[in-house]
Amino acid sequence: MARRLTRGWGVAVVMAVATSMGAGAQNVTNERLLQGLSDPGEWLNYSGDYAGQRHSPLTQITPANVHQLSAQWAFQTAQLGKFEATPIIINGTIYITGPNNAAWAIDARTGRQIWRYQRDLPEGLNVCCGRVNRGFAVLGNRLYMTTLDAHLLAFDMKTGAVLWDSVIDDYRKGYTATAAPLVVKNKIVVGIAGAEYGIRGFIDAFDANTGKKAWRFWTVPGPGEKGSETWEGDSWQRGGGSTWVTGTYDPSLDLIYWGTGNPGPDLYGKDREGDNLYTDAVVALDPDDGQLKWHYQFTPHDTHDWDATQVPVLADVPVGGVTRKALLFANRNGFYYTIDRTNGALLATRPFVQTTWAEKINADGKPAVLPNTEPTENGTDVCPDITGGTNWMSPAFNPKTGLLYVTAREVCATYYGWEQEFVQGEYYFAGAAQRMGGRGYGALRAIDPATGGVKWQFRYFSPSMAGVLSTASGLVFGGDMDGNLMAFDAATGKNLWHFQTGSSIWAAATTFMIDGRQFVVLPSGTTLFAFALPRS
Amino acid sequence: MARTDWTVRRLVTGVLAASLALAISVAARAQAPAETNPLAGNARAIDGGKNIYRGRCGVCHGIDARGYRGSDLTTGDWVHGGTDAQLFTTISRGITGTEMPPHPNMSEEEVWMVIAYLRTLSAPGGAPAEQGDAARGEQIFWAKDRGNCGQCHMVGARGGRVGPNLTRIGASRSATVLAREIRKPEDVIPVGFETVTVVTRDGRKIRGARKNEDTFSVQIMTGNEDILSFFKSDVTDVIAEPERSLMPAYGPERLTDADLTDLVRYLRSLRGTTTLQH
Repeated sequence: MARRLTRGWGVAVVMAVATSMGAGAQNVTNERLLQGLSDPGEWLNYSGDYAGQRHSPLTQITPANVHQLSAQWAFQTAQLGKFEATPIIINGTIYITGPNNAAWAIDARTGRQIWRYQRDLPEGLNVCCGRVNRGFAVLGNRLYMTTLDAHLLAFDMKTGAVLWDSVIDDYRKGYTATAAPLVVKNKIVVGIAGAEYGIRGFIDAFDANTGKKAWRFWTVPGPGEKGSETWEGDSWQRGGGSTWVTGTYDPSLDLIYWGTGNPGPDLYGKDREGDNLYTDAVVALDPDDGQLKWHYQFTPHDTHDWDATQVPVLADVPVGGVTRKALLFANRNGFYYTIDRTNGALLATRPFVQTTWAEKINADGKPAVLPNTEPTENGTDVCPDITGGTNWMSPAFNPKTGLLYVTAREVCATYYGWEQEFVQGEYYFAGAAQRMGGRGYGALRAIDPATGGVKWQFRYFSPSMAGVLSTASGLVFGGDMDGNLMAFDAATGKNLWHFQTGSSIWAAATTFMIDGRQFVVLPSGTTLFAFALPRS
Repeated sequence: MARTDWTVRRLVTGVLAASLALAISVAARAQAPAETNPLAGNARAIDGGKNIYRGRCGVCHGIDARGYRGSDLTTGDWVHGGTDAQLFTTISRGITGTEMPPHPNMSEEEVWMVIAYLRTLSAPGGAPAEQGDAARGEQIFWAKDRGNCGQCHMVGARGGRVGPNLTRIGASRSATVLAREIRKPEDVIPVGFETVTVVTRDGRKIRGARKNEDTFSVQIMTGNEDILSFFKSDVTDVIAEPERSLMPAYGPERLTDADLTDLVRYLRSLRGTTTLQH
């Protein structure tokens, strides 16, 4: 009898703990997604909130105590490759994806694995730049992940079991998918990659329940469609315009904002004369049907591979003394832009790194392109380099300081370009780029959206590809190519703390509360690190 | 020496190697999928392979494939094996212990296309005969009153450690590139050998080859092979000198053209392994 009683209590205790850990995990509603980072224990979107600000309201870790941060645990993925993901964090569990479409659920307290998933990928994938993935999306009790063979998968959050598997497009045509999806209402919105293989880019939406395709927006319009006049001949068919970084959403305007990639081929433009809409642009789409509401093209007729696949950060900021509904965009082409997100009008712009391809951005929003900056057979020296003034690494915006924090790169390159015949599924780059003038350097720069001016910078030894996190306590976390995770004073840029992770950092830190303690987690190398202040 | 206000730590090379670790994507590619190139001679593949080569390989091997930091690929002289399968493995997996990296992002088809293109570059009849007297070049290399190259460079188990190990330099540099690097060593300074001067708080200047550096620290090897580490916050300055090599330029006044030809011939003969035998 006593034995049975003990066993019964054991079950009850286990169930109570499990219930505590899983509370709410089964029901990530649209309302919760709309609340952004208001729940201190959660991180529910790629960029934290729909606005893409990567600004956490947490304040336990401050400029005064951040120097006490220390490692709490490390989770080893055993997956070689660039670890570029942002985790989803719900009630004590971290859901994160890694290279080669591996994924894990990890106990946030201890770093111990709950489940693991690994996709069986086909041979013959055309992946230009790494077998990477940038994270899950979540809705209800499901996680969503895109795959290198251009599928969208829905998972049971509790077990990692695949619930449905929908084809986004044919990987044999050069399509691949690496971006974290964006959940808007009951749709899973995904981007595509493959502009180095002559794809025609798009943004797709799928029904969250069934996996059925809801709509597609082609980033390269077809014949007869508006914008098709910016493509020469049939060049639109292989026009690129990939969408490989997650966009943002403004519920009040009911618009999705998404950056688009380079036209194809990358470095040779004489076969595609024209502006090549809607490549290297930000597009504003109706989430219900994917209709284009407006666009702003940063680099018309690009021949330097300057994808505009940065996160469009949404913030209401003063410009000229008037608060504007703005979209903040530090672009790979070296210019920073503040754009009216209601209509796409340019409000402010200025270079945030050395740029030699355009004198300025004219009042009509188009760049004043300088002569002799096109890639040639013998090479043309241009700044920034092909990786750009910044790239996919996420910026962050602190509403209190009013500053956008951007990982900037100061590198120039010699660009070569040549005519290349297109063959479906083959590398369609039509050129090469060689870094010039040595290593260059990186920097964390704080940009004033009102003017585009740089308020402060902290210089990194090497050009960095790490993203940024801001917190309400006045901290900014950045990273570098040499392995340092760093914390800065958001107002001044003073470096307050750093930790050598031992590998180049390709992701941004995220933060959440658990057991009353603020954790900062960061993917680096094959490891997910967790940091916190000492227990009080 | 005021060692109280700046930090010097002697490190072992292994620690430095570990700190150099980067997130290099290395796909598990077991074996070449075919013994012979299925795209050999295919005009489309050759054309496509040329584009891939120029975009991905030309940075090191030269846009014209005649060698830059990497070896000359037009000679038909394949040090790590010239069969299709061997070239496939070399391209996809790289060569451990050399500057040749793996290329995990290239599909099998792309690798075969590059090989199809490379086959069109090889000089008919094999590599041209090399000029110079290797034995005389070897004397110049080691003689302290001539090249004195061994003071800084190692060949096999003999020589210094401040400069790059040259045991297999003949496999990775063409004669043209070697001659240029001897006359103008500052043209291309290999990673790990860039010149850095650390200025300590007591005003001393310590010059060395940069083994590693990041935002917060720098590790160097000095001319007498001491490995030193400095936190930047503990020193006055860390001065990079990208235009200046630690290796002296050997102009015609130090090495005649004939001497240079002989020295290069000797260096071209060095095809050994850099693995030290114990």
